[in-house]
Amino acid sequence: MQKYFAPILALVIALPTDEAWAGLRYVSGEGRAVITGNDVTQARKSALADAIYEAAAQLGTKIKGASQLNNGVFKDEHSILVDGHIRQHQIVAEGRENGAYFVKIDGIGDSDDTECSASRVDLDMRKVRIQVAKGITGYNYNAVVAGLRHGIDYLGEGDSFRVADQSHLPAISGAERNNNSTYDYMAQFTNSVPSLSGYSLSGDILVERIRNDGLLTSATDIQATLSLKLYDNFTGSQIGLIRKSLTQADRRTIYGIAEAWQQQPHIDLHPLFEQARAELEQKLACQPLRAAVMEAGPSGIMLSVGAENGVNEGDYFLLTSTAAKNQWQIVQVETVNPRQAMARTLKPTPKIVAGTTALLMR
Amino acid sequence: MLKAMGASVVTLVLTGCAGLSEVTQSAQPTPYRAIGYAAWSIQPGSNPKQKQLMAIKAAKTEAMRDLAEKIHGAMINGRAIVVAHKGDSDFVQSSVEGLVRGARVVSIIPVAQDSYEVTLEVDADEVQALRSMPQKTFR
Repeated sequence: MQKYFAPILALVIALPTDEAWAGLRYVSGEGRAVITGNDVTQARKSALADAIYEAAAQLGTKIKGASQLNNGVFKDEHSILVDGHIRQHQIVAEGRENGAYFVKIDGIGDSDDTECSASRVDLDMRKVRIQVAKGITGYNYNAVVAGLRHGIDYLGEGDSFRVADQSHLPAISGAERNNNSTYDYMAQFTNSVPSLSGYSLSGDILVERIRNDGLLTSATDIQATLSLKLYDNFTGSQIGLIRKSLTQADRRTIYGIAEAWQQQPHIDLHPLFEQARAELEQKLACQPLRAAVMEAGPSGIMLSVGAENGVNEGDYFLLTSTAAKNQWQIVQVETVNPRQAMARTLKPTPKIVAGTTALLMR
Repeated sequence: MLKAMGASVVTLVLTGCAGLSEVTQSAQPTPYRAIGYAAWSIQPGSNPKQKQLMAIKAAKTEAMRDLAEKIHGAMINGRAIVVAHKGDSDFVQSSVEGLVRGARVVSIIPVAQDSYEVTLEVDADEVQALRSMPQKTFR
């Protein structure tokens, strides 16, 4: 497992942020230019520009046109405006052809038509520490434990993420991400290996009693606060903090008189998890779906995401080579299992090794 | 006799394959296709090859407009004036405006003596996504 460390670290450095890679699209184009005066260099440049233009047109072309028929006289006019951004391209074929030069390219371009919620990212639910203030333990503690259990189940029904319950393990640390920590053994043993290309959630629930004394009255409330930190397992950075709290009435006492009202508070954490899930949906719905290459061989590329993540047959993934700068590979999904997908590479080079990270494209 | 049996078996196998491919094809949504034409003799350029490349570009633009009409529709305005039971003027205008994404060239074929035919294609799901987008006018 440790052999994956170097390629993953290299990818962390090489790949831009998620936002920068959101909404990618695989495009191709073919351009031609006439070779005049035996100037092949100039013709090649023109053909390449033409190919890039054609590829950019796939990202977005605005068309405006009008035709007029006025007393039998026909007039026609239209214009097209190409509006696309090609991030990277590479020439896949070029050569002379009947007095012209042709260039064929593959490219990666920006697309602003990202469909949110189309895929489900992996979310590892890690340890949520429960802290209940002294004096209100017992019944309350048990209620919080049960509430947490129901809460994790409730989060598992999210639309844009797929929860893996690893709540018996502590928050994912940098070392564990690199499969280097003591928890790695436990993770393997309990089948709770962190999703290297996914996200993780951990935090705490704090339950405490709050006094709200007035001139003549003494009032106490029970406040429950759910704090969850959302981490990007791939980069190790914290990408969100979800903090929700609720207050429930505890005791109401008038000074000098017996307790006016006392009721054992029933702590219900469900509203907290409802709010937390809604915020998680917002944060994760438009995150690009990433995957790790689990195996790479002559039979194909095995990716760590599958139908449960919203992957379909025919989907394209972008893989950036760790060996050569600015080289990428495109793979197309051929078969999909619930948790994995098999894909084939569309180009002979560069070679892909296990541990490479892939990004879902349109 | 054996030859005849062999031929029957081959026929049966081929028939089976044809049926299967039809089922597979019918599951795929039909892509949107558009064709554009342009004559190269009227194109600007210093030599015939240059004119041919320009004609291909013009035909692509024509096909792109046809695609835009198929995806977004066309606005038709017309005015016909009849004075004293006699046609005085007749004016029809059609206009199109819209965004096309994912169009790819299917074929570039020389037709007639000096023209090119370019066929473009867009996937049906791409069209669906474009139609669901709010359309903006542009200059």
